[in-house]
Amino acid sequence: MKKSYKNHTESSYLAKWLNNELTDMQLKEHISEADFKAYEKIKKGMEFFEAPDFDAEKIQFQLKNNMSQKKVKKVHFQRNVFIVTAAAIALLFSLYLYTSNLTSNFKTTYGEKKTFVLLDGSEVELNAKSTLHYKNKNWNSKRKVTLEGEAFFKVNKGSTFQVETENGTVTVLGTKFNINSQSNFFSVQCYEGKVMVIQEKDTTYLTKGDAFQSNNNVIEKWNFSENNPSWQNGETSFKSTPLRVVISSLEKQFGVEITYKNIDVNQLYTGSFSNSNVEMALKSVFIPMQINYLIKNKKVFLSKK
Amino acid sequence: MKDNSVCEPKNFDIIFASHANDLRNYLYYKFGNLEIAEDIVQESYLKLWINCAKVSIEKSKSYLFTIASNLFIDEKRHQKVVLKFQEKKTNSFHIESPEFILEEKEFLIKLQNTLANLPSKQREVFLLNRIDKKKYAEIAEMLEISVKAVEKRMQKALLIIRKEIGNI
Repeated sequence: MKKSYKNHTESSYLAKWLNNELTDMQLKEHISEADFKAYEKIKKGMEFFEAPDFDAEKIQFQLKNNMSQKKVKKVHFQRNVFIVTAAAIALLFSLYLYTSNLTSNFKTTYGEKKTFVLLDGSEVELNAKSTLHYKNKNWNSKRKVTLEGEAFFKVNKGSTFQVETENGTVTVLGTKFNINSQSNFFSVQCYEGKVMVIQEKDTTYLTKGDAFQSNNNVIEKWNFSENNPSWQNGETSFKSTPLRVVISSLEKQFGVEITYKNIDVNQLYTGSFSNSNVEMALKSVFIPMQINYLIKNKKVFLSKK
Repeated sequence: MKDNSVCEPKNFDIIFASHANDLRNYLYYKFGNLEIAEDIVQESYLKLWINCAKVSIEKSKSYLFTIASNLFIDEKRHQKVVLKFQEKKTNSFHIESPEFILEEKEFLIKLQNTLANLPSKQREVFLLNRIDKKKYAEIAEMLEISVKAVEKRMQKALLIIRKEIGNI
């Protein structure tokens, strides 16, 4: 049985028949009438399929955009010809060394929200008390940033774009997504395109509307329909998030210090608070959680009800 | 700059127009993800542009296909493939009773699922030939394998489909 199968693949009679090198009659010498009918049906059925549309213009447009960024580099090399003195070369070289080793840093403080543009035109919006930095060197070939805290990314198409956090790495080609990275808490939401989340050994792929959360290494995934993270509109929302993360968000947003006693800060909270009023925010978090709070000079004390 | 250099924008545009669609389809058939297939097309052409001085026009096609395959390996996105195909409107298939048409439809759905589950080596070759109407020799050139290897994969693809589909 195995041998005849092998012979068949060696002679590739079906492939030859599809390619009109064998006639129907010749094929029938190899196989039964029932088989022939089946193959004929498969051949005809294949005529019903076609490839998805190809939008050459769209792809070429994006490609040209990326190409023009690469071209800048080339022009620099050609200019070498015109450099007159060795001193100028040395100066340029040291300047290059200096700028290419520079690290760009972005920071937000309590309650602050900041948007900025990266070297390739990609946008990042940092939420309160977060930092982001990257090396200018090799930016064109390796887009890599490091994040602490929370940020929303709108990445232009191009080479892979990597966000490193202490909890894991997120890799994309061009897309919109949000990352919130705190101690032992990591959440990623994909708003457009596709992202890859790497946490130690595990890799997770997210497409539009997918959310990923890891809390003390317990992983949860769900779908959402919003087009932007709520914090961009002045609201902070959570889904099954440990209270300690919510508390740290409140602290970052309002610049308050929250202390507590006998409270389980690992219990999960689902809900949201407004970023404009600290009283309202405390109410919307702690009333449903049945926790008493007392606010005095930017200090908040929590206790059990 | 030489007239036949890949760095010449006009030549680069021609290379884009001649191979981009084939490359996209090949990647789509191989991995089943349209969006990523198109990203990889862009990345491959970008790499060709960066290395335009090192690649001749004749070699540019196989260069693109090699780069694209390697990029996909880097991406580690070998997930379960889900292929979708549009059904052609024109049909010279059969004009028959409603029951018959329903049966045909069921057959096509079954065929589509079988294609989606084909091993990618067989699927890429089979779909390039059946959908894109590429000759075995062209496929062999694209994938840098022998025509005999293409025939073997075609043969195996048909045997698998036949087995999966069963008696109809």
